[in-house]
Amino acid sequence: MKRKLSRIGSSSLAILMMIVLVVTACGPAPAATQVPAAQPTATTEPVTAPTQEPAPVVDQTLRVALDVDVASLDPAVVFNLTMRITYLLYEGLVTLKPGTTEIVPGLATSWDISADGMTYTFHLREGVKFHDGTPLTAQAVKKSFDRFIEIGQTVAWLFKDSLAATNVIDDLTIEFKLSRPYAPFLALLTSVAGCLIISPTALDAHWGDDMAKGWLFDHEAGTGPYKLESWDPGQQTITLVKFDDYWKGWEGKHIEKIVGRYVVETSTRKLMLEKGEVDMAYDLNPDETKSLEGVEGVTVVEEPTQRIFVVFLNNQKGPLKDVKVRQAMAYALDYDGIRDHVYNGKLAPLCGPLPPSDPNSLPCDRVPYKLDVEKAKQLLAEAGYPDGGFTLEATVMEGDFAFKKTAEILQAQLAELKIKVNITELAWTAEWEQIGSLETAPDLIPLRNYPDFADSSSLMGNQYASAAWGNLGWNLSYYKNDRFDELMKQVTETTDPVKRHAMFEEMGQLAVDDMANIFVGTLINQVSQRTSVKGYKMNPVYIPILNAYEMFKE
Amino acid sequence: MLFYMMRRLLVIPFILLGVSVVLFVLTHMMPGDPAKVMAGEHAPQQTVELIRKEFGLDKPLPEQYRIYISNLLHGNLGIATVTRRRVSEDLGLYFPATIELTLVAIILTVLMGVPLGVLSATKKDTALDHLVRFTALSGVSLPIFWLGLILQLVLYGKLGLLPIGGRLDVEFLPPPHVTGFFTVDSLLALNMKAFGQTLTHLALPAFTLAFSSLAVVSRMTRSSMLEILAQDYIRTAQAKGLAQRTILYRHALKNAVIPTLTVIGLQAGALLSGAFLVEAIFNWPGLGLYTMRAITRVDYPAIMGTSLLITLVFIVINLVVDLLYGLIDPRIRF
Repeated sequence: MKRKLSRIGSSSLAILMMIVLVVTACGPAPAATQVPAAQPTATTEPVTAPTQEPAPVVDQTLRVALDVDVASLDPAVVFNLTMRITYLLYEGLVTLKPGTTEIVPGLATSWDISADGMTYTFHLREGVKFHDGTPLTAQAVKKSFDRFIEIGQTVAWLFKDSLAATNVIDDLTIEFKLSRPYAPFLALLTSVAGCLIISPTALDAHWGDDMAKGWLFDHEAGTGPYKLESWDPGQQTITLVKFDDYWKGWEGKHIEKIVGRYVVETSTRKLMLEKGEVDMAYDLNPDETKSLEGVEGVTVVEEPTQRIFVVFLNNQKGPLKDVKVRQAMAYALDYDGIRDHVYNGKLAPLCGPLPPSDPNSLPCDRVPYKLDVEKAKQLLAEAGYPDGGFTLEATVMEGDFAFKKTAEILQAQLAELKIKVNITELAWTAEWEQIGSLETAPDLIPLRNYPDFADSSSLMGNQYASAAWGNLGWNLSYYKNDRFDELMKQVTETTDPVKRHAMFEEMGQLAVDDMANIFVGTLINQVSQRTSVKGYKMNPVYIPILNAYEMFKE
Repeated sequence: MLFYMMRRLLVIPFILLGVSVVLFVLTHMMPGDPAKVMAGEHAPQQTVELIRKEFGLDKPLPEQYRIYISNLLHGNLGIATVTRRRVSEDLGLYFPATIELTLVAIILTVLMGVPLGVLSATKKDTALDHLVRFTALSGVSLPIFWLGLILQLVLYGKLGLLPIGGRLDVEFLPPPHVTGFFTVDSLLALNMKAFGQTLTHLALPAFTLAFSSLAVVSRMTRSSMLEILAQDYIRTAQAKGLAQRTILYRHALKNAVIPTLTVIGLQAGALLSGAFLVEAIFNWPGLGLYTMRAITRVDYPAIMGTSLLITLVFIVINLVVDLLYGLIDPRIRF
């Protein structure tokens, strides 16, 4: 009897504990707590009690939960999201107006382009100082550029095709001589990778035998609004403070200190944001962002970007060789379904190879593709596959649910057309290897793509030019069209924007008619932040940019 | 005993050499091109080839291995391609964090698991026994990842009692580096605030990590205790009128601890691998996070370095456990 009772007792205890645990976890989140106004930075000396402030002075420290650990601070080497940090420490000759693709002066105040488009002369801003006190001169610019090209990483390859020489005209004037007319050159110079100017004093002092790469790995010598206070890889925290002699000055409201902490898990970032421990959290997945709606103190900033989501179709293998079959694929995809179920409604349309914010993108009425199963069936019949009957291989990148879900949706849609799709999930590096050769490349690849610099030729070229075939570039459809290649050549050499616009339109139409890859949508970048953070503007091309100087807290 | 230890220590380099061959082959068989990862997603093939040459990845495999081993013998573990620092520096940075976490978890396992097991054995079939057995069952069944997330959600998210992760509060300066263990370093610097913070930051990750080992150890202790308590010599001791406590701790527990020690030794291995998951959830800047990044970015030197280090740790743990047998059980002679 005792045993039976104790067994009932322990089972009910077990059930009770499970219920308690589940209820606590699934209950509504409490209101976010206030971050204490002054965080005393502790040292080993005794700490004085924080004083009561009569008027609340808002601490202009921005705490960010980073999605990538800092890899290196050398602007000629960094090529991942760490550019977010280097772009706060260093600056380039020209930059993009926050939130737009408009080119505006940076370290250069004005520039002249010769009539033949082969000489660019830049006039530098007077009175700019590097963080170590060295004044900005044309010699400094030349030194940084020569180093960048010699190291040959990040976007250096784009310059090798076009830049012939960098010449110092005088202390504040520098000239770039191109080997051929290259229309995107100015856009190239706005790049957040590579084209940033480093103090020549620092370069000379630490040149060594590795071109100062070792020193610049964890030190910096830029002109940017912030300088490095500390980088603790053990704690995975990087701290930047304002550079008092920044040439734009510190009138008005600006963020004065940035603390970036690498947080691995998206759920942890979200939790920290909710509790106010960080002010901004990057790269939360759409479900997490959605659950932040209505949470007090948190807001989500969203903007369509120039990152596009496409499904590459292999143009050289199997049934997809036939353009009609590829077009059938484009009519078989449930675009709205993907937008609603994969992105919770946060996906902008993509009409053609260029995103809508690109001035050279096609108007949407020129792109006929939308979900139309009848049309798909008709096209398949015309191509000789009235009852489907073939199998396609799809590869998706591990760790990104959007690709997998999209592949599954396509798989389901194509199953209705009696086409089988096998989905393989691979780690990014493995996928890249598989894509690299025509023999192993799959038939369907849902993937994101983005421009490397603020010119339409970047995205156009890397997806469709035969020079970017396979993993030489990003022409993962193995698309080859001579007319396209010819237009590509012309558009890089012509500087007249009107002529270029017409060429881009023709190229876009070719991509639409040939249906090399399916245009699924344009990604909307969502960054979750606390409502106290103001002034953040996303850049559609250079996603990582954090315009902290224009931001402030209140 | 000394000869025994010398013999065991002398074998270590050979074990590591053998392991290094296997590891080298396995890591280079992993799909993925480290040069491509380093160059960046949109980098063209020429940049990739440039980087490949720079890091010696274009040489034939046996040649690469030869270079690696000769560097290793000079104490050079290579340069990690992800962090671009020397692997030995990275290991020195991140290893103490993982060991501190694992050691605290082991301490929790023993301090909580053994008494719970003893309690459960002496109070067999009571409500307390069932509670302990239920806890043990949940310990081995609950996925460590889930447990960590739930604890984080409840204790940080809802109740705000414990911090969300990291070893210290974000803008807090760590104590001066002596051992790399913040608990030890903060005590050495007499910085009680740092010590307090370290403990609060250790609480959740160490508990999450220890939970399943704790479960196993408590069950193991319970069953060996039960077995021993049924022995004749225990009955003799009781008949002789010895206090229950004396019987329990001086006679029974010492014998019960031997199989438990084996389990603890094995659990140390499980704890090290569990640490990898716990570090991800609680953002603990240790070897786990470092290795995860190394694996996803195909960072050969880092993967090799970490694996060799962990192999060494295992060997040492096994040695320590074997030596502890000798200490506890006077019957064991070397």
